[in-house]
Amino acid sequence: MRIIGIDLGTTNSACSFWKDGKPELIPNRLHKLLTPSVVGVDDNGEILVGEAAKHRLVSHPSRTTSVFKRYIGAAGYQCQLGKCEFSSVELSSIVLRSLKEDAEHHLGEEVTQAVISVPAYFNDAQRKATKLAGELAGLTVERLINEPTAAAMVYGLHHISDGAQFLILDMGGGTFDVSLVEYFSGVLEVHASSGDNFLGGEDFLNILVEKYLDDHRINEKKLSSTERQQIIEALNKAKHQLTFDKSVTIKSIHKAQGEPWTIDRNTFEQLAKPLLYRIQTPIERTLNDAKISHSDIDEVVLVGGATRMPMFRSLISKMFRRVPSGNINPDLVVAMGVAIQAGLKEKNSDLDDIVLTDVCPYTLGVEIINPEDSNGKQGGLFMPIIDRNSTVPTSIVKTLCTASDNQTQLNISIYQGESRLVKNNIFLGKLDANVPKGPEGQETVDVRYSYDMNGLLEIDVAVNSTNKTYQKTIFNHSDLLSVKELSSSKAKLALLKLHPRENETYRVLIARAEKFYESTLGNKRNYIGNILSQFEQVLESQDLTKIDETSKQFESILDELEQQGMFT
Amino acid sequence: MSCWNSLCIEPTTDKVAIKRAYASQLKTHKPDEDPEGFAVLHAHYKQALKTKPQTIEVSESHTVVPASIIETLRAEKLKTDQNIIEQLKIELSKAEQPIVQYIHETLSSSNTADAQKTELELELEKSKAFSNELNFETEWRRLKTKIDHVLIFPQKAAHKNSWSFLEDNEALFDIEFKAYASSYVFEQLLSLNNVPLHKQRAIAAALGTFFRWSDRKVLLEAQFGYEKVLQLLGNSKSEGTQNTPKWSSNKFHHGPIIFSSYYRKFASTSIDIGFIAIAQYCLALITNLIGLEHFLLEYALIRGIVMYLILAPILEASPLQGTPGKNLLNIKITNLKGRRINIFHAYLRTLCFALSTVGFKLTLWINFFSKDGKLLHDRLSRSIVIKR
Repeated sequence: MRIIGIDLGTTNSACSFWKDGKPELIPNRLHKLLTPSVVGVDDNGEILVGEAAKHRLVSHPSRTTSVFKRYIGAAGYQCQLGKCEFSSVELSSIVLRSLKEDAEHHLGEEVTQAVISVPAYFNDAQRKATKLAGELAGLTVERLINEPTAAAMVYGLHHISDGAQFLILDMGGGTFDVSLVEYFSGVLEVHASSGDNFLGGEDFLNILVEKYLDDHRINEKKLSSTERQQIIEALNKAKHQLTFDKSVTIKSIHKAQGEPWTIDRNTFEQLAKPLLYRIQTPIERTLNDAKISHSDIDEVVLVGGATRMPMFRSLISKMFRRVPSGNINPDLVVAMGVAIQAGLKEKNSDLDDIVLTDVCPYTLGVEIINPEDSNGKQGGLFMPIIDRNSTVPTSIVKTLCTASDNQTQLNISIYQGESRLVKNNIFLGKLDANVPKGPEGQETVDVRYSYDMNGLLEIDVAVNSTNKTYQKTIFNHSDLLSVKELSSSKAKLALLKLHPRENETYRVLIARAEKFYESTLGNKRNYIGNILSQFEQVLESQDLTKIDETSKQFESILDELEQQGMFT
Repeated sequence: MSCWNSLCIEPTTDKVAIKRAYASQLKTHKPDEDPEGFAVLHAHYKQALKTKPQTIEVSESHTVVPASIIETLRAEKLKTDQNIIEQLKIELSKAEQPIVQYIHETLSSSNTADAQKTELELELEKSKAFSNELNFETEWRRLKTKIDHVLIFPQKAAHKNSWSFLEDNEALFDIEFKAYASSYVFEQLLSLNNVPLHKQRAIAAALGTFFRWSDRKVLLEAQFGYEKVLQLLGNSKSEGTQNTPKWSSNKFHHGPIIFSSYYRKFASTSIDIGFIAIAQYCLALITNLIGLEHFLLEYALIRGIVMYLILAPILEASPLQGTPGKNLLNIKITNLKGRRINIFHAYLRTLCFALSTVGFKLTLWINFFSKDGKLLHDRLSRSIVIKR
């Protein structure tokens, strides 16, 4: 049975598998390796995923959505697309389903198993939600692998000498992860890992958007969603362009903007200072945890699209006094790593000698009574059970006892985080254990935390005097659905029709043309409208050779238009 | 030692050998196939890596102990001891040298390391330009004067904004430089003897977020000693949220909230009534001496009730948190959150008490049937009677 690897990203996703001793990426229906993580519903109620949906972000903002990975595992996020409401799990599952179809087409067989990558600093709820999304898409998730670990596998296997320690910095669209990895005799050992779940390319883009709105005194609330998407898209391009040029000038993209607007690298860097400051925190923490000085690190490896930014690179070279390396395409390296993990799962003979050990990036523990809490402001104390950066799988038992006489119940609240006080940590779940009455401290329970390779937590509580046991796999109260909701969600997704694969290319062209139509004015707009309706007529004729021919012409026209595009 | 058995090698301090052994053992105890076996193996591996040379010598000499070996061992130990002393001397002499030079030294060594990989074009040039541009020595001098300048005024130093120059400093991006600055500032803070402790802590909190002292705690403790770090940073891991400690009475109940039983409450009220009776009796005696006995004795009951209704709330809202009877029986009154009630709340509670006792027969029954042992007036006034 084939296991595919999926890198489910905030902005882009990719799919891969293990073939003949090396990872191979699976192209999507448009023959591209990256599929934008964007989902939309078109006028016929059909679901669009990827490139086509991305173009429709501008033309049909109310029917299209992106960046939903940021909300996965969070309470009550619902997104209205046309008539339907979707949770971020469902949206992710739609993207996964599209990737699965591409993989099936490419491999020519049915695919039911997958390895999915998640940011290393994802918490339990987010991991569970990702796994659930996979299941909703009809994939058994064989393993969740941390993104920097996946990248480390690629570098470890092919590019790094034996016995080397290297630091992986993975900044994607929405998350930032740091992992310190050592590779020796086929063992890839993660020593320490840390991260920030809300720091990525999108945040840098937001800074540009804010600056733009500020400069033109545009009230963000008064923007229509189409205008907002136009600005976001133009500035996203500008952001990419700033990687190559010292400054970028943008033609008018909003009516309040009279003349071309110029932004240069230095201003951008000044504005992004707070973000750069946040980047340092996880890095320092990782080095501290691993008890390693930065001169012991053999290489600093950059992964993820946002690491292309010059300011990121210069920050890293300032921090480490050396040049970071990133020989492999930073957008694709995680997907390649996931394929290696998929190969490992398939028990491929060419990966026999490779063993991967990972760590748990955060501390997990329980709430205990705070005897020094004299004014009630502090709340309970946090007692760590699994310390951060313990190698997984791990299973640790701690004994708790009753805090007062005749207590009949022990409330075990499960938290994740580093603070001494539970109120600053993340609440994961709760478990109540009944104990017989007795004097304070007599009744004890053993709490066992088991953290598996997927990063999922399981709690066992055993009451010592009655030998009763309670068990809980943490189900977050918020996003994870009950069995009933799950089946209804499955039914809803089954009803959804994905847009047929064959026509996807034409669909993208139409979406692109519609986007141009929205963002231009005057003669140009009429011109685009004309050729668009011509193209639609040809499509209706169902004459395949003619369609093929016109679509090529159409594409070249659109390319030309884009060339003239935004930048002066 | 058992860890060597599970790694299948002889005790050694050679890290490469340990790693190789671990790698080969790992193939049979893969983490996803044999989690328990892996956990044991990994623990042993970590233990083996931590082994110091001396402990191995001891464990080896345990088995065969000819006198000659002990002699040589002792000689070797002497030698190593002397070595250590010499090293210490060298380090001490280093420490006597000015800080600036130390930093300069490490810098130059890492520069040569950088110079080895010269092929990467643009970026390397940039970083080179950067390190030329930034002379860490002068940078440190500038930074040091700035830091010292702020530290002269503790009031100013406790304010976060006065440290904003740290965030703008280019050189502080460098991890090593930052670590150095961090320990220097910490040292300076510890030596501020004339500044009161709470102010020192406030300064530490203002700086702590920048230098991430909460994460570095272990390192700082190793450097400055546990006591001193605790004194400055406190027990708390989250700086900023905690200000200087203020004196406050026990307004909040801490520990579990346990409701007092019905009988205990009844007993406490009976004791209070007893106290009032005694008080009235004493009052009557005094007034009797003055010569007003007729006027006072007749209304003793009414005056007793009025006295209770006025005094009880005052006592309940005071730090005693209850009437003398409640204090004797170790119970107290709080609001639903375990906080001491204020005077208005206390009067409201007493009013409810008075009203519910007017319908004495009715409330008695209701109180008997309430499962949680809360009395009617507690329920109405949203207060609770709990164990101290």
